[in-house]
Amino acid sequence: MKGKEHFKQFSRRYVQLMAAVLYNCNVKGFAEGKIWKGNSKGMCVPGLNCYSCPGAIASCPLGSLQSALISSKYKFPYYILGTILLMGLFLGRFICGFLCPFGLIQELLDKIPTPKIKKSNVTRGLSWIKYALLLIFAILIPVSYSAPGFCKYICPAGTLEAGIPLTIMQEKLRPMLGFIFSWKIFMLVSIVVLCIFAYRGFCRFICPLGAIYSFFQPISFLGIQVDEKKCTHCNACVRSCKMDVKRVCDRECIQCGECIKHCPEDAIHFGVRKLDRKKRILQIVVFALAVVIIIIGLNNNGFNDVKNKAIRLCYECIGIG
Amino acid sequence: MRKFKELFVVTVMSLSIVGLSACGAASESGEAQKSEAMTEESADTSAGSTVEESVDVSTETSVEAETEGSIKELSEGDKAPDFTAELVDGTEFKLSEHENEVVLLNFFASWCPPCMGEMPAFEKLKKDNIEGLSILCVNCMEDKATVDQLVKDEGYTFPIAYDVEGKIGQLYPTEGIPYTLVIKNGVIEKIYLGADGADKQYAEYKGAIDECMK
Repeated sequence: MKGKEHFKQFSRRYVQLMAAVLYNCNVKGFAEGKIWKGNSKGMCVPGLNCYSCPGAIASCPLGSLQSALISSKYKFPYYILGTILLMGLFLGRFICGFLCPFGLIQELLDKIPTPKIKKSNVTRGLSWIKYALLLIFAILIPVSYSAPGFCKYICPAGTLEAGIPLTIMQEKLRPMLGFIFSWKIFMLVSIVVLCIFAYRGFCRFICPLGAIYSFFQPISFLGIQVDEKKCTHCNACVRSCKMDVKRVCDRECIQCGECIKHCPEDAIHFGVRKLDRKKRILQIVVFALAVVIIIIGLNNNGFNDVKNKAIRLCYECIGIG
Repeated sequence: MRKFKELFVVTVMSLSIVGLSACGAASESGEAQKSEAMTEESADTSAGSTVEESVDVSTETSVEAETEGSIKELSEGDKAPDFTAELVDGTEFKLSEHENEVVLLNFFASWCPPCMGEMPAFEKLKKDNIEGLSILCVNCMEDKATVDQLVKDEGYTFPIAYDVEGKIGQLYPTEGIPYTLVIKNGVIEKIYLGADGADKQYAEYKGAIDECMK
């Protein structure tokens, strides 16, 4: 009985851990400092996980999106867009709360006992930054300047998971380190400090992948839902939430389920969401669209395109070259 | 006390998962991702046979390379593996036919910004018209249509080869691109990893070529 309760209390942590380990289960890669070159790199994991990480066995959706957009003048990135659409439609920001290794790292950083920045209108305002970063660094820079903007200039996961381990393991990469690597180390340190003082600081203010998934929050198949009949509008859920949410399951909600524990009326549940007719139709339309463009993408050699990029080190992404 | 217990359980679990995954690398495809499984299924049922075939081929080759570890990265002083490449202009390039020359062999892709950044260096070297020098840029596994379009857009005049199935790339394994080799009399003289802009790379390559010509 005790074990069961323990699991109930920490089940999210286990799922996060399992996701992180599964994404990066190429143990041999860590030992040799070499990246995985198998076929699974043609698929994307849902969470943010650098594909230049020696352990990574699949691709990062955000990294693949950027590298696909770089060559979008030659080939429209159907496959990767469809994959993101499908993952967002099914899970929404559940991915952020449960399936993102970098989310796990941020939550562990939050365990460091320091004074924390409380959520306020200011932090809610700052949460719009990630949409700007998505537009500028993950879309406009790849399309117009042919550089994976977010990976190259910001992504702390790339530096942590790929840049640092690979340059430690592979001597021949070291002469290539330059200003961008120093900049990326600076970004990593700043983001780590941010996450120590603000719960999931990267996730709330910076992560473009979270921004993408937040668009799917209103229509995702799975999610947190409030039983309006039971709800007394006491607002305990929003007050107990550490993210910048204004109501349950809005764009900032990562579906972590913390509010379920705090609801005095037991009115919040996680599961397949009941939506009104209009949203149901939207769901079906998005689902059909996703399936169609994935099929187009696969016929268009999209799987191999994603794989071919992911089995080669992205020097720019890890801040060298 | 409870904290310790939590930490202990978490450590044991992660270790066991690492152990399990190390045993069967095949388990990676069994990841519990509904969405991925769906994409896979739709791929199997609806995608054209060409896609599947090409996927299969690459599985075999990459798995072989991975498990056997027989394909080692080349180093300076090694013999350059021979290959025959199909060029964008319709001709063929056979490395062994250039045995008495210096060959500048580069691997690139259109999606690789550092690669595209150094392409003008090859153009400039081509315009220099150095006697006894052959330049060949091998594309990394992109569709022919993409490569054709790229060459048309950028107006490259130096020889560019297709390598749709990665056969040439396999002979010259590398962790990343751009990857450039200077080959003299069939022996690798110099290897460059990465690129730092066209001007710097031009100076580097020119220096290495001049050294070989001495």
